[in-house]
Amino acid sequence: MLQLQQLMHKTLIGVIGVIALSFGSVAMAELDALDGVAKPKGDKCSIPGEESEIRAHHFQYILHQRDKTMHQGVRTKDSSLKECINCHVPENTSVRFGDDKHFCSACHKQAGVTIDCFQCHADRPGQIPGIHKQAMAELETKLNAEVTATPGTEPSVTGAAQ
Amino acid sequence: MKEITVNISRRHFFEKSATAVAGLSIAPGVFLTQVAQAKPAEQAVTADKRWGMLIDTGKCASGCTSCVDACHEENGVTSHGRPETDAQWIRKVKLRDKATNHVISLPMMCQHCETAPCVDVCPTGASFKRVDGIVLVDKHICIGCRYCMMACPYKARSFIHETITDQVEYAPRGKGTVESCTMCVQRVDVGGTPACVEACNKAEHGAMIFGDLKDPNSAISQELEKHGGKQIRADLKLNTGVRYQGI
Ligand code: HEC
Ligand code: HEC
Ligand code: HEC
Repeated sequence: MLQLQQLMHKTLIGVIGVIALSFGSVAMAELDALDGVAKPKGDKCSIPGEESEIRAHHFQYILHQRDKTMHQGVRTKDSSLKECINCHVPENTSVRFGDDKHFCSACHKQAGVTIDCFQCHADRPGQIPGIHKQAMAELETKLNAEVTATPGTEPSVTGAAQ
Repeated sequence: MKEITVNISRRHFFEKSATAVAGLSIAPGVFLTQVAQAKPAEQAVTADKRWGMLIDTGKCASGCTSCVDACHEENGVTSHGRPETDAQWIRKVKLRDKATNHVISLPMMCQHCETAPCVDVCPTGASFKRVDGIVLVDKHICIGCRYCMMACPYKARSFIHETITDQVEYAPRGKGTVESCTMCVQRVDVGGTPACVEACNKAEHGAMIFGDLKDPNSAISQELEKHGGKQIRADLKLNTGVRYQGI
């Protein structure tokens, strides 16, 4: 009887050992997943915390931001999906979402996570049509001009049609 | 159609530096552009504003599609070669008065109703009105049922039938959801002007004014006060954010 108990003990320890080992390998696998994936352009993630925390919580930040942008027009950059892509995916890359080397596919494939975000969202930076770039440049000039205008003076006629 | 002017008393008057004069053409080719005020990125939109548009059909050129082209370029709305089902955020409409044969041309899009039928019928809350009056689809919760398309008296909404790739980064679009004019929120939220209005000015027609209906000094409010503006299907009492002159 005593022997049996000891045996069970050992088996239990063995089982725990195996579980621990497999946890270790999952963690390793996640790091492996990013091998060969392009490095981010910046040196710090806009999501706070250690890498392990970012990995565990990144989606909470983007999902929270999603609702704030959509419904309240809040357009801060830190948790914006557009900005994740801008920093984590190179310009002019041929790597698309779904490829092993896409930043947002790599770990998810190994972790068995499926996301639909990129059915709608651009999966690489720079997808901005000329008309928008020009409008934003003109807007910036206008806003700057306003800032530098002497307070109290009448605004001058701006934006004569081109 | 019955003449309806914007109900001035409904507007919330508030003190604001009276610098804004927008989109009024003072001579052919010369426009006063609205002095833009950018909203800080972290600031939520407020009900102190109600964004609207005023369209002067007398200045809208028949055959001109500058507004449509600009909208679709800005938002990455492309054709799949099937006009019956291609998405359409804005379209040109021709109206002929049977009695006089007088033809007018106007752009038709989401009218950004105060009491929007699309919002009323949406079973998931995906169709919603922002507090600043812009009616949108939250595609994250849109299930593609298309009730809103049937409820809309202006046929302003489209359903996406095809898989879409190469979307514009600020205008995500995908199969199985409904969409329509967003008044270019991505521009408006940073102090800009919708692409259609901008294009109409650049084409030297100046038929469209964009602005804040709640600001009595905005060009759109001033013009409405002076010359009025009608709602299309005013009988439905939707209090649209888009108004027309010359209909
Ligand atoms: C059916 C299309 C669709 C899908 C699928 C979708 N989105 Fe969006 N998303 C949109 C639209 C439309 C907007 C509004 C864009 C705007 O106003 O700037 C948006 C905006 C956002 C924003 C705010 C803008 C930004 O870039 O930061 C975030 C964050 C976001 N979505 C996250 C997600 C995430 C995360 C997923 C996947 C879980 C997802 N979305 C899936 C259509 C979609
Ligand atoms: C300015 C560049 C930049 C932006 C923007 C950015 N990141 Fe990061 N991200 C990094 C860097 C650098 C790291 C490496 C960890 C660190 O040093 O913070 C990282 C790490 C990560 C990791 C962990 C990777 C690992 O090895 O475990 C995830 C997940 C991640 N980011 C997701 C996101 C998401 C989601 C967004 C959008 C909300 C985002 N990042 C925005 C630069 C960025
Ligand atoms: C370092 C690995 C790693 C990277 C890189 C990574 N993710 Fe994740 N992501 C995960 C893991 C692991 C989960 C599941 C976490 C959980 O469920 O607790 C997850 C979950 C998610 C979820 C929630 C899915 C759901 O159904 O709940 C979203 C959304 C998401 N990630 C978006 C992104 C986006 C966008 C990127 C690219 C900017 C990205 N992730 C990059 C590891 C990663």
